[in-house]
Amino acid sequence: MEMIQELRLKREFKKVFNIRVIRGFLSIVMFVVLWQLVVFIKVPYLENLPYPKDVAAGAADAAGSRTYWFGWGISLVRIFVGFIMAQLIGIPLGLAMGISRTFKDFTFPVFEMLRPIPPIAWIPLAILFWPTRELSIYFLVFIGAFFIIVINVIQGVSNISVSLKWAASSLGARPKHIFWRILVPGSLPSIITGMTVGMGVTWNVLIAAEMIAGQGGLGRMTWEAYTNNNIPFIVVGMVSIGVAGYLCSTLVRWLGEKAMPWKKRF
Amino acid sequence: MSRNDGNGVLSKGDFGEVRLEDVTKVYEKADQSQRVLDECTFSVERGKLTVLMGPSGCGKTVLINLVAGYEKPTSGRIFIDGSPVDGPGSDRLVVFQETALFPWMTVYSNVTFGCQVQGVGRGETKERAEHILKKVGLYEFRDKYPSQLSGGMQRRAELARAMINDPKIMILDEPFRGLDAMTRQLMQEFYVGLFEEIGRTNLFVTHEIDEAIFLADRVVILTFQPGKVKAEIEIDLPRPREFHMLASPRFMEIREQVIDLLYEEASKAFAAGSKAAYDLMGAIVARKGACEKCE
Amino acid sequence: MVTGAQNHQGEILIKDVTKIYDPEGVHVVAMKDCSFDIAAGEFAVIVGPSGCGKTTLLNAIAGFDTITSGEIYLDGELISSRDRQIKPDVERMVVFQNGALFPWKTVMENVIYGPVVQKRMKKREAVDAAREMLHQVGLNGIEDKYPEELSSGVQRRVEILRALINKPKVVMLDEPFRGLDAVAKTVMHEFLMDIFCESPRTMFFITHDLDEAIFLGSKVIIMTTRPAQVKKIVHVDLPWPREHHVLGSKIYLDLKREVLEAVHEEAKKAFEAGEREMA
Repeated sequence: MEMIQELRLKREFKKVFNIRVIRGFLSIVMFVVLWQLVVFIKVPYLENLPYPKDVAAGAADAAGSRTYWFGWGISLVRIFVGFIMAQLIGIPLGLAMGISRTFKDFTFPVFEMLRPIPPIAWIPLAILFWPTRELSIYFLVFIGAFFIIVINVIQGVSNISVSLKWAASSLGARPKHIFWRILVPGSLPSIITGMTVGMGVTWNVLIAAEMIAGQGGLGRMTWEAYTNNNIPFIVVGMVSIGVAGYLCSTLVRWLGEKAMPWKKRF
Repeated sequence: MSRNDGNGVLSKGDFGEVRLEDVTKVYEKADQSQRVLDECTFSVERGKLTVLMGPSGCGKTVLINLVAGYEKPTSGRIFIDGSPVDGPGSDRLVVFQETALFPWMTVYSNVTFGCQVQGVGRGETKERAEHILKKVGLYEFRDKYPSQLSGGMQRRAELARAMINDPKIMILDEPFRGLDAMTRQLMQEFYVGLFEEIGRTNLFVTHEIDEAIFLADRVVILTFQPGKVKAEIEIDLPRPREFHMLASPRFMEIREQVIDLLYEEASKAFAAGSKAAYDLMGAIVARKGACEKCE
Repeated sequence: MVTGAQNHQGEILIKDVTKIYDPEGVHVVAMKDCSFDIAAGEFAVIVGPSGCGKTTLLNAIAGFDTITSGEIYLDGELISSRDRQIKPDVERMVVFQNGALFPWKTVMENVIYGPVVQKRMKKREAVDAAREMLHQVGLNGIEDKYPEELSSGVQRRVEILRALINKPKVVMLDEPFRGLDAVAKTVMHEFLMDIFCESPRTMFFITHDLDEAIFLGSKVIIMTTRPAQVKKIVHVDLPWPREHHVLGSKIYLDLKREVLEAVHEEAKKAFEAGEREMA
């Protein structure tokens, strides 16, 4: 039927020469052109921005430099240690608080008192109290993710529809079954949300911590570029941090999708 | 006394009987107390499909929860085969309005959940599962997740999950709600077939009059708040029920009867000043003055 | 006998309409060479399994979407074809399933919205007309209420009045009474019946409820599963206005049986087809 073939051809064409992809591409080109222009004509306050080409040159240098990649490694290790600790402690804690009202009554008040304190505000105390600088940074990353995961897990447990618990009881499930087969998988979506949001926050915290207190890492590197007045490299640092953060979030999201096969749409 | 339901797997066949005596349920909210059920007395007969109907707010769902054991009555008693109800149990399985399939488990895992937590052996579980899945037509979909199934299929999976445990009593609370009318009609046919094959005691709640009459041996109608038994109607349509009965004169007669009873209760809602009242206002006016301008 | 519209408008001709949806790859032939007519002022009810067929026609006539091929005429004018699609207009009004009353406006404000916004009536005129309509159907005293204060039955009726005040040629209703319980539906049917008898206009009514279809319609058009076509047209020769006792009459039961069989056949096919798609 020719109508069908016609539609198929149109579809293939659209995949490549999709007007929306073209628009997107053009917008990025325009952004770079605008950037170049702004610096070139010395727009007030913005004339010290580096040219796009300088940033590109700086990026090329960085890619070849070992210190740069070490910086990545250092930051990533810090993120993972702090983040994973937060999950290992936070998830069970959140589950306990979600399930046992007594437990929650004892722990929640203190928890809620500490939660509003922005992780960055912990920096001076952390530096003072932890034996090594590195440990204090791990601690700060931990704080970033910890409160978020606990709150999400508590929410996750309470979100589980009561009819699921009733159905399980009717079918003969005992408390241990309800915990492992209903509550844990049922709160998984909230756990994943907690992890995803937490991952974003940890990068925030890490960069601030590295700038203020750190030795090495992408944040420190970017800060040092500032103190050394290597402006193109500041931008390189910023972009690197953005990319690193994006990759980590994507990893968490990917793990989340794998952990919840039932959430796929068909 | 066992029954062979066709494929070699036996149903124990000793189905239960529910008896409610003067069951009252009152909810205390802040300074108000709401009497949802008031001295309800009726039986769900052994081996029969009893349908419970009534206007919105008559406490049908509360009654279900009480029989299932999720809640306790404020006063009055509920007996299953002579023993009082004391919490949920696998002798009474419930299928709710909203799907209660565990979304993170496959159809197979869902259906075998009861067997697993009750420690039934692997081999027997597998046999039972195969049998029931084939019966509901979901065998090819056993490894799918609930989110991958259509509404009708999800409902069938839930029925399978309940029936595999061979409960004494099946309780269904508007199980076909939310399905489109076509699927719903087919599900009704499907379910009535299952019921007629095994003859398990059923307590079925619905809003839809056609559905109630099509499935039931007896329809119990509750009054508007507080819920009391208003009427019990025996449905003397022959079994096995078939869809063309929906167009039979006897069906339409019973239907008229049920509508009139429900209409009466709806007028009381009007008198009580509920939101639904306006509908009745319109009804009364409309019935009185049908279009005189048409010939 | 109510047969034609008061000004003989609203005749719809549907000719060989085909609709192919092509959402990202899997192209779906929702409708193929579907043809039927609706006379001016006729109450046509469309029934059939769930799928895109019925809504396709509604969307094309209303002007919300296009068709792939074929033609639709309204009073002789081509309103939809492969190359031409008329835009939505008050002459073809739609009443949807899920209440679409403006929640921030009162009942009165909702009902007069159309004529006032389009400047076809001055506000005072519109208010009078609206008041008259509300009174005729027994909905007095709710003018100044907001939709959320009303039951869904009343909301639905207000919505229908809001459509009708514009005196459209064609009124299209897509399962407007779905989800209402039996008693409320009875009230709705009588309401619609009164209105239709009072000022007949072409009705394009989609439903799954077969009793509703036969009770309200002058003819029932039964559609097949995908690709949708006309399976059968059942003419309902019951006198107007229809009263509820007609539901027990022999003619009614015969009609119901006829419609039931045809619909049931198609529903089974759709059910099985749907499962194959899932696998």
